[in-house]
Amino acid sequence: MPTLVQALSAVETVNSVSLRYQYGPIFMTVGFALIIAGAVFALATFLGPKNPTPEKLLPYESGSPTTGAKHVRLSVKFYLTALLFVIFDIEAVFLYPWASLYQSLGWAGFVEMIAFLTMLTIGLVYCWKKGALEWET
Amino acid sequence: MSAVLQSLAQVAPQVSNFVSASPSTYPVLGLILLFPLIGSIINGFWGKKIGREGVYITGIATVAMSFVLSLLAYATLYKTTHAPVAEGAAHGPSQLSFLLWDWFRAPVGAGVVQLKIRYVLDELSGVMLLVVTGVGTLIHIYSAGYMSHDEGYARYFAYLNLFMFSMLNLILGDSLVLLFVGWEGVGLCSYLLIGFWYTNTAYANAGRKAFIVNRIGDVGVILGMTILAWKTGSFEFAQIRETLNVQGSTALTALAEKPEFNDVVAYFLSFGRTGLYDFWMRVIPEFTWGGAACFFLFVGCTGKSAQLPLYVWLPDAMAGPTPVSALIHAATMVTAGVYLLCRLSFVYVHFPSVLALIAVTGALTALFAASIALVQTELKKVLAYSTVSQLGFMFAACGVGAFSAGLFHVYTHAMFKACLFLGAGAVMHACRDKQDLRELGGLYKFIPHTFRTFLVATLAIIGTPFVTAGFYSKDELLFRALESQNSNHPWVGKFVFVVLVLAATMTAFYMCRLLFLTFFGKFKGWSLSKADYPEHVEHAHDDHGHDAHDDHGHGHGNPWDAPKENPALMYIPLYVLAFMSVVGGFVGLPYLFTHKESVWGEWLIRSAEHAGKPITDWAITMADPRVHTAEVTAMIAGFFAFAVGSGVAYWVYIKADGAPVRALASSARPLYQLMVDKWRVDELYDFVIVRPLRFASDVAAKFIDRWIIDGLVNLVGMIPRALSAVVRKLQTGVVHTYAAVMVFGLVAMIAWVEFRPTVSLAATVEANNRISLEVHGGPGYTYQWDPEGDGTFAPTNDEYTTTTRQSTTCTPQDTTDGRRVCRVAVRARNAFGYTTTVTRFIEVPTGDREGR
Amino acid sequence: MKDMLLYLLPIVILAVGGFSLMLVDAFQKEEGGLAIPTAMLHFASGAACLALWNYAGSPADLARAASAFNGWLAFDRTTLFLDLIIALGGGLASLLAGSYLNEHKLERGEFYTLITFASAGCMMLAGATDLIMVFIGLETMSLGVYAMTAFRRTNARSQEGALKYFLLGSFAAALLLYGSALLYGMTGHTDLAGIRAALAAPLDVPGLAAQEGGALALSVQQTVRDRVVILAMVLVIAGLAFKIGAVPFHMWVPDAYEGAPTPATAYMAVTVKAAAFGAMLRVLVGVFGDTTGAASLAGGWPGLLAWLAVASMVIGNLVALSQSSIKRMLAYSSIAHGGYILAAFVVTPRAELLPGGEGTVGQSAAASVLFYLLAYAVSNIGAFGALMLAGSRGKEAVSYDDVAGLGKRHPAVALALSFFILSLAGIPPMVGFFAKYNVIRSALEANYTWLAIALMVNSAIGVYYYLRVLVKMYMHDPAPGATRAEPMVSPGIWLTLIFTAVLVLVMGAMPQTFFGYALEAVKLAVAPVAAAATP
Repeated sequence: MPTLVQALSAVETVNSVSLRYQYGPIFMTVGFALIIAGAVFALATFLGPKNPTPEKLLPYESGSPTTGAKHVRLSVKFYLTALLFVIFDIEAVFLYPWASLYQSLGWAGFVEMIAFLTMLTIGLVYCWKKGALEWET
Repeated sequence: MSAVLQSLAQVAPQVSNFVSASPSTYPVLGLILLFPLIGSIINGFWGKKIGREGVYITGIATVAMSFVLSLLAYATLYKTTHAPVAEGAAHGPSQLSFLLWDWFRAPVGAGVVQLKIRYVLDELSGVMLLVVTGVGTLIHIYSAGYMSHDEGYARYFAYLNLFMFSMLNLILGDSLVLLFVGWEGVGLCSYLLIGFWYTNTAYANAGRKAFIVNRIGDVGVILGMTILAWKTGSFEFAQIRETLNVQGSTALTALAEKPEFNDVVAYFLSFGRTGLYDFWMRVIPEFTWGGAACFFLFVGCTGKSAQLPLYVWLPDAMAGPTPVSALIHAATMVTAGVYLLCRLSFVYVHFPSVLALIAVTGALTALFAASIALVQTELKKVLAYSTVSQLGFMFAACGVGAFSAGLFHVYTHAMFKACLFLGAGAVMHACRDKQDLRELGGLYKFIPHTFRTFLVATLAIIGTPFVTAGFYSKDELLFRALESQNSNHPWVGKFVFVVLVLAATMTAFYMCRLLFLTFFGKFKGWSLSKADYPEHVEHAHDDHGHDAHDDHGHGHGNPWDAPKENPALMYIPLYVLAFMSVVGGFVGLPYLFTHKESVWGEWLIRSAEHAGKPITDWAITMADPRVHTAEVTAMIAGFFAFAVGSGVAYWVYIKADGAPVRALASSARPLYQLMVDKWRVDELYDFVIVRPLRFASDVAAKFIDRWIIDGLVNLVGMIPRALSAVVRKLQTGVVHTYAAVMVFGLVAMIAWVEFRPTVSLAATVEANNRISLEVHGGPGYTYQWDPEGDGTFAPTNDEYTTTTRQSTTCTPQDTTDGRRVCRVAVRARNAFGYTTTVTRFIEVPTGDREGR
Repeated sequence: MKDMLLYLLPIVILAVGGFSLMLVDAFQKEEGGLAIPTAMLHFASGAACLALWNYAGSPADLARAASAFNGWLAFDRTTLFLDLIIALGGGLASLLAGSYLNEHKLERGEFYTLITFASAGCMMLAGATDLIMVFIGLETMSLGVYAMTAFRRTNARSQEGALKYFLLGSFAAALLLYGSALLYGMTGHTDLAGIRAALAAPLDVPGLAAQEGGALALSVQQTVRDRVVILAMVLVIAGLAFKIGAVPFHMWVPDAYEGAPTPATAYMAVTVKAAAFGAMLRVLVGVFGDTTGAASLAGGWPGLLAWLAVASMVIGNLVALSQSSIKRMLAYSSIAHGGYILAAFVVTPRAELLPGGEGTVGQSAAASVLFYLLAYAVSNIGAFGALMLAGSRGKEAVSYDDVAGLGKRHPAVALALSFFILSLAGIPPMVGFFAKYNVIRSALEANYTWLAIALMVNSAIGVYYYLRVLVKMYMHDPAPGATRAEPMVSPGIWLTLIFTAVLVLVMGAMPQTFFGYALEAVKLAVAPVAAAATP
């Protein structure tokens, strides 16, 4: 059973050959990030001077007191619009690679994209008829 | 799936085969079953829609069709069995069969058998088939008259048709399983029909009692069935018979084996004590597998056929409509136990001790029930105990090995007892549901048809010499009992003979008493003078006799009207049955008269070919003078029973008008009361079984419910709560708990695959102790091998290989129980470095020792 | 292309039909009226499965289909059998929905579109032989089902159940996706056949062995791959076990089942389970179970699943015991049924030959899985349908007390419900008995005696709470003053009840025939669903 050190060194020796297994550096980066971030927090917590007063513990030390719930209810229409945007946005994004590869994909690619667009169109028609695109109702 | 269509296409030719059916595919059998089922479905679902007439026509026509087809099938069977046989063959095909479909594959013993839905008509089932469909048809006709005032007619006919279907399943089914399906089906219908007027608590309780007692018997049937199939390797009667008829066959040996102490049944029966096991072995004769199977099946029969000690449900079952009592609780269903014994006679003949038990049980039941019937005052109660008693006769006959005689009595009894019950129903129908013997009398004037048929049937049951069926069947079984030789218990035959003669005497007495009290003397039911009912003149039609048993509201005229004869629909079946009670017996004329085997015996002789193991039955040589003596003795005894019984009854009830009974009742009060109270068996059961059981179940309910079930439920409720309580410390919201459980589960699963390497080791044994081994682990598994089983693993203790196959010649070791095994081992390491060692002992054939 | 359309016919019918339903729904003036078309679509799809049955009869057929699909979907009888269950479940559920939604003022066209697309997703999942396809199918199916669960918009329970289902379902899908990604990373393949081939061969990086220290590096990488593959397997199991509702991934089941409108509950319990088990058969047996073509334990998944099976049975049954709502009881018992099916699943990698042409032990077990799924589908939809019919808008019949006296009030519904309950409890001659019987037989044939005993004990517990329904219906009267559930009038539900009741009885009368079809279905599969005999 090879040890971890052996494993890591072995991974290093084969770096140039196999790109698929070079996770060692990533793990190390993640490790360093965690250690440094943790260390900074820890140092600040343990070493920093503390002198809490009630005033200091308020969310806004010198602001006016907050009123009402912190959640604001947004109209569901915003979400709906956002969803529709994402869907048709992705459609547009999907069209670019297809367009650039149009020649090599041939008829099959054409038919498939038409089918895809048809489905989306049906969806659009559906949304329209169901009133999803109307802001005032 | 389009194979469904293909199988449909396969059915089509079968339908066209119908006319030119061959014995192995005889679809008529399917139709015989199908008709009652159709009737039941129509009446059950659309009974209200098709109206009263429709229900009657459907109910009667379907069963009548079955009967007609049964006649056809029977004729075909007769023709087939009497067809000239081919050169060299012993005989032609002796059965018609119809395979409906393959049901499912069931493991039996070491192998797996295909359970089929197949129906078979042979000599034995043929006789039962005719009795059931014939009597069934008559009773359906009668019911149309009897139920003419009842609201539940559709339900009634649906149940009755369903009963016919189940009964036919029981009779025609060719395997134990199918028989059991029918057995349960008739039990269910019986339960439903006993409690037909379920709004009456007493009737509903009677139904429940029948149900519970029959369940006790069913446990016996299941046990017996299982053991029999397990030891013979088949569920099918024909196959079991074939295997048992070979001398020294493996099945026969298996049945003759005694259960080892560690076998489930023996272990259970001896409470895990070897001492008790040895005791049982000494005390119980034939403590063998076969004996146990026969015994358990017999327990089932005592339940269904109302024998000691499980007879108690039958008298109560008279709560149902009277035609039901006639059909189910007298003529057909209760004889299912006798049928089962006859069906499995080829098994029973190998176990004389069980047969002796059956004979003694039957004889004692006959006597015991007859003694109760002597003093009962309700018409149907007397007949019910009479049925129990007559069933005892049949069991006694089977017990002494005279299966054909037992079946003969089933057949004659079906005729006259159905006639008696229907007659009783007719009496009650005419007399506003009165059935107390003390309130009846002189009825011969009012209901002459009923009287005539009742008289004939009574003469049959008491065995009036030479002219009635009852005489011949009773004579036959008395004679068989007398000359039987039980190889283990030679005294049984004589004992049974004496007890049965006594019971027959009692039968003659109580049946004559019933006849005299009901039809002779003066009518005591109600006043026949209009002057006694001044206040009823205006609303006479509101008055119904609700005081007695059947409170389903028969229509009646004025309260002073004399009993009126019933419609022809009701008395015509009576005449048919009465006619059969006389001439039906001539198929079984004794050897003494004709000096040849009777038609009955000849017909059944083939079902009786039990290889080399006749106890008394058909194989006896009739020319033997001792047999002649026995036959004469039996006949004289039968005549004596008839003469004494009926003579005494005549003297007591006609000559002395019941005075001797009153005198006896006052002088021997306790005894008389005890008999009226039916020997207090119900009370005994209540005290010994029901109450302790109820007490125990109360305690158990309190204890188990409160502590175990509730505790369990609480515990189960607590686990998620405790878990969520833990999780809530960290975060709120129940979804998080759910997710946490998922994560815990995932971690546990990962831990399992990491820390618990699992491999399977497959071994194939070849000749000369060569063993091929193959191990399977999974991705990343490596192995060390120890094919010699000496504890040293190869290649070395630290090295693992990816070799998954090994082949080795092993040195077998002898085990204490005489087997030879090789030890092999493999150590596997999974990808995470954890190891497991699998050691297997592989049995090698013992023959190899010489072969080497 | 033409071939592919033919093979895809069951899915294509549903997909095209789903879009048509959307358009009809968008353009029609009034809501409603879509139940019958939806049911017809499903039944058409089922008919297509039947019609295609003989197109998957030989290895040549399968090879032709495989080349058309390029390894994405399996066209074989296993798929067709599962598709048939899904089509049956979807069709009957939409028939139920037609009446139920109307009665409860929920009638909106979206439901039918959702159910149709979900069925299409189920079929994709059931036939998927590629991890990406598995994921697409799973998500198509799940999204529809989540939305159906939330369909009672004004009902808090419905919302809560759907949200839980959605959140946890996303979590489970993430696990599945992570497992798939790891498998791809370790083998370079997403198609199951490719993964299997890659795993069967030892790891080889071209040119590496020749380098200095290359042998050691290779062995290390081999170890890493083996470990990661096993972890990936567990992740995939977790993702699919969630859809089956196996313990410990079962927590969402009661909430979602209770909150969903009853037709959706019936649908979820049946089709989602069928599809997920189909995917599991292909992935677990196809990739890990049968790498050598002989008995294999494949990194321990059978043992793992055996524990999941027992845990599901025990927890499902014990909790079902203490429920006072029949709907919730059916939900928990669905967990237990999942456990029973898993018990047969465990045996699928066993290659010992059975006598009588029944194939291997593993094939018989896989057939038991399919048979159980069909039996469960029929019985469960029937039970939910009968429950639905027993109550109307004023008062739904959901608790045991609601069905008290139903035997007298409405004997026909009570009779139908008793058929299904008896079948679910596994009492002969109903089909449920034979389903359990086959599973027990499979477990015993593979010497999993303890598993068989656990199953028997658990069915005995199950009988207790199932029979309570019958006792309530036939032997109890409703409490005085209690609001009675009034049975509703609905030809659609009646049709469903009659159809399922007949199937329950017919399949119980001829279990061998239907088991034969299931066996036929597993014997010849594109990605193996059970261990074949060693040549």
